[in-house]
Amino acid sequence: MKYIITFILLLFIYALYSQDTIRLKEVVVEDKFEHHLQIYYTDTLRQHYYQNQTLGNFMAYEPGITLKSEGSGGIQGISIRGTQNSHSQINWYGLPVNSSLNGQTDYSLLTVNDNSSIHILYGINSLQYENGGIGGIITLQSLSIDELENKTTAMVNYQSLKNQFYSISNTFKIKNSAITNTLSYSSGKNYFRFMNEALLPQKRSTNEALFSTINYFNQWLWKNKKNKISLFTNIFTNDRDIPPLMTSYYMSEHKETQADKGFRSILLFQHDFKKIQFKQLYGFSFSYMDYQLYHSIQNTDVTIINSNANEHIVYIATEATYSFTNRLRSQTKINWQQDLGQYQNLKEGTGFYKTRNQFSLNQSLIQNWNNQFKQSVIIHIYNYQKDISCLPALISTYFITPHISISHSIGINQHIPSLNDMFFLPGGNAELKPEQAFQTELTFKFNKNEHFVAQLNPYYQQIKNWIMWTPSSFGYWQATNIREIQLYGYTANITFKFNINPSIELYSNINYTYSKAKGNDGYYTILHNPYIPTHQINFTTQVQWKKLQWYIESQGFSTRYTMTYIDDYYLLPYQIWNTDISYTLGKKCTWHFTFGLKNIFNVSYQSIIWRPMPGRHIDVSIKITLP
Amino acid sequence: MKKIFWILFLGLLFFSCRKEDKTNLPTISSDGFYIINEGNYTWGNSSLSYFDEQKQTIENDVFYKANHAPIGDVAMDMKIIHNKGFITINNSGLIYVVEPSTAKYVATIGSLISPRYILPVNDSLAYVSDLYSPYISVINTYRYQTIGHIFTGKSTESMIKDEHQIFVTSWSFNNKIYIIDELQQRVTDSITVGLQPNSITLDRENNIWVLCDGGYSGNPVGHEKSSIWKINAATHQVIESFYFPNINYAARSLVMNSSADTLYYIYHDVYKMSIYDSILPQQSFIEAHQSNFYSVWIHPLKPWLLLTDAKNYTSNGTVFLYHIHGNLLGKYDAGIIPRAFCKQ
Repeated sequence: MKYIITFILLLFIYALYSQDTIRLKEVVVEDKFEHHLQIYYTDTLRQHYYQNQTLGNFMAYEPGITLKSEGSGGIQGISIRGTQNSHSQINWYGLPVNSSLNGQTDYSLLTVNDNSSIHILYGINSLQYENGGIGGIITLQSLSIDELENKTTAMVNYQSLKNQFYSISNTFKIKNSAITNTLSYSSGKNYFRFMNEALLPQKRSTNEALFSTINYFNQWLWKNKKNKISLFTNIFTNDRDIPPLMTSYYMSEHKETQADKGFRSILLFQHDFKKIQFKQLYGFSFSYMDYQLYHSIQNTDVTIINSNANEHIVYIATEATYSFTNRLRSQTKINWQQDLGQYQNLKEGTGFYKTRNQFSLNQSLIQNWNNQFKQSVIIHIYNYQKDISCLPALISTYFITPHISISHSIGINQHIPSLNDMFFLPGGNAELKPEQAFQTELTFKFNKNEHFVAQLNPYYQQIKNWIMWTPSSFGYWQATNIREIQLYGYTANITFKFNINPSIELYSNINYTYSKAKGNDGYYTILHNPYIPTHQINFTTQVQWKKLQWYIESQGFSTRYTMTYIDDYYLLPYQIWNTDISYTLGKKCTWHFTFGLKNIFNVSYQSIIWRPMPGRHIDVSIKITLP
Repeated sequence: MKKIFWILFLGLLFFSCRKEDKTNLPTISSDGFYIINEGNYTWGNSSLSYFDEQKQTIENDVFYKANHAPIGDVAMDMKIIHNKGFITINNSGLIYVVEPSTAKYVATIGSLISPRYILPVNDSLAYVSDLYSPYISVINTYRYQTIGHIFTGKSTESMIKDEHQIFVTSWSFNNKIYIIDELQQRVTDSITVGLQPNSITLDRENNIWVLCDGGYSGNPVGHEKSSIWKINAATHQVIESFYFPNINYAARSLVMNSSADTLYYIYHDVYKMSIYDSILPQQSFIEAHQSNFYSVWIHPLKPWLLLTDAKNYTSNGTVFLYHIHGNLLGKYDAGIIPRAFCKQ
């Protein structure tokens, strides 16, 4: 059945391609003089579809990105182009929010909304912001006041996995300012049945993992002719049960929980002088995590792990952009970041408390040599312990025709060890060196009347001193700079939008990633990059007919090996399909009804080994929008 | 453009394919032994290998081949009791009972916390030590059920029986040997030894030998040099203790030969020590070179010493077959972290 649907769909799209087209709003065409070059703009239509869902779910369909998810309410991590989760950084309205303790981001704790745009700077292009984003930097940026609309939105969503989601959001504009408040609450059980093939006797088991999340987001924007002030604030709490691995279902009563709480805020001043644009940022984030693992025996709780971690980041940055001429511009950014991390293992009475200061200077020169050729030279200087490193990058873009361009990026990036890598007991290693990457990539881009965009990105990166946690002879795992690896491949991406007739509009995106890894960990040859498929394909299509919308998406993975040096352990290839049908009632005050069917073909799959994922399930929502 | 769409279409078909499961039933001879490959914690990649002593060949993944299911997460130990194989699976919290002649699944003993080692104590009972639970589980080896618990208050590890006494090491963050009276089914005494006693054995003179790894740097209960302790099994008095010279190596896997007069253990290299020696041996018996020796086992019937190399703990390990005098007879690829052996 799925072959037939695939075939019909692709023929349908192919037939449409030969028809006349209209303007494709969702593809943002680059400015002649941008702040940053080689930015990948995520699709705003899909962003709208993923509104209030996790950033992890949204990013999973972008080229070169592989999501590792524990399911609804569970922890999510991503890999960009075969790198680790800690190699991808989140820049939240200007504030770096990766955990200072483990260097990672839990993508389930960030939600997608309509009031921001999401960009990706892959690989070395990320050096335009910060060092460390070897995979890339994902930036969340606010829309301008002019792009925001006065509106109030309320949404209720129910999943047949016994999960529910509620949100209310209001954007209020007065003259030169706009305020947005969004409050969301989700809770559920992530309840589904699955066949547990990991244990004998094999039988149907139940996945049940309670979770609840409260998320409050506020943004305040103000501007006059020469000044802009923005304040962004986010408060969140998340409590979740972590279900047992499929291999541990017959254990005595198992209770594993994680509670996260956090606050982050950033204040941004911007002033435009005649030739200089000046920006000042003050950011702060705080987070607290409590993790516990218990088992019960003879009605007695046996504590296996009882730990907590808290951390804060203080961030101050000054940015100045100076235009020497119409064709040459300088951007300078100086920032200071203080990371404080505390980890306590309450059961064993171990832990650490560390503070680390980082300074960096980022200088770039952007030269538009002519209307066809532009370049950016970046020098990024930063400190790590007592050393100062200087990282260069060069980004060049050449427009062969107004519709065809070739870009090339090359440079050196470094990622410093996290506080856990250095100080966790046992196994932390204070002598770790930064991970160093030589990165280069090409981008071939074609767009036709802004309705059709095709892009091909071959990439190559060589990473040395990659930090691995490897088992030691003392029985614990320890951090070492052991891995030397080459990651290479390409991403291909096609986006198009057509009006079949004045009332039917079709949008589609298909992207494919080919990813390989080669290298060694000391004496051992790397055969596989765990969890990274060689082939990954993502497909989304939306058809809109008057007030009716049909959305379908599919994701396919080739075999994902779970061990680095052995062929024997892998997750089978799979392809899942999701679809939604929605209808909008009303003009000023609108009611938007959506009925979704997820995992249509009831495919049994795992994103992380021995973590079952739900089969076919239903998702319904109602959204009310008031002007 | 047409080509692109066909490539994408064929790509989608490709992703829809599933690999065929090509597994054959394993060949388990009557003359051989099992090798329990521990695998990595939470990765569920433990496995069972079988060594045919006649052909001197190894067959890997025999549990999967026999049952079309993985063995679970961190297989630790296997004992054959009443002609049934009992395998403790640590992080799966269970014991699998298998038919030793086929490796076919027979039963599950579940609801355990973190089972480590199994020791038959009489005709129908066996004790199961546990890493996290402060209890030893008592199982009925005919009914495949947990029938009781013995409170120790701490984690328990390897065990040995002498008459009606069961000596149990408390390895994780502790320095005790607990003595359980089989008849009373409770802890009756304890002995303080070096930090983290991991293995225990009994010699022909009725002395208990205990090997302590000494912990590690940052260990909440401290870090000291590895040590060997000699204890009178009847009086529970420490006769002698021997400390190793280098704190940077952890000693492990203390075993006794079949005549119960010679100890073997791993301290980076493999060492051999008479039970009558008053100092630790200076010369290694088998040098590790690039190997990462993980466990040693003395064949109960043949003059063989089996030694495992866990390599970097995430590759397939190697099993070395040595003559008891130290000459290498063979080298075989096993699963991830080959840990324990069980004679068929």
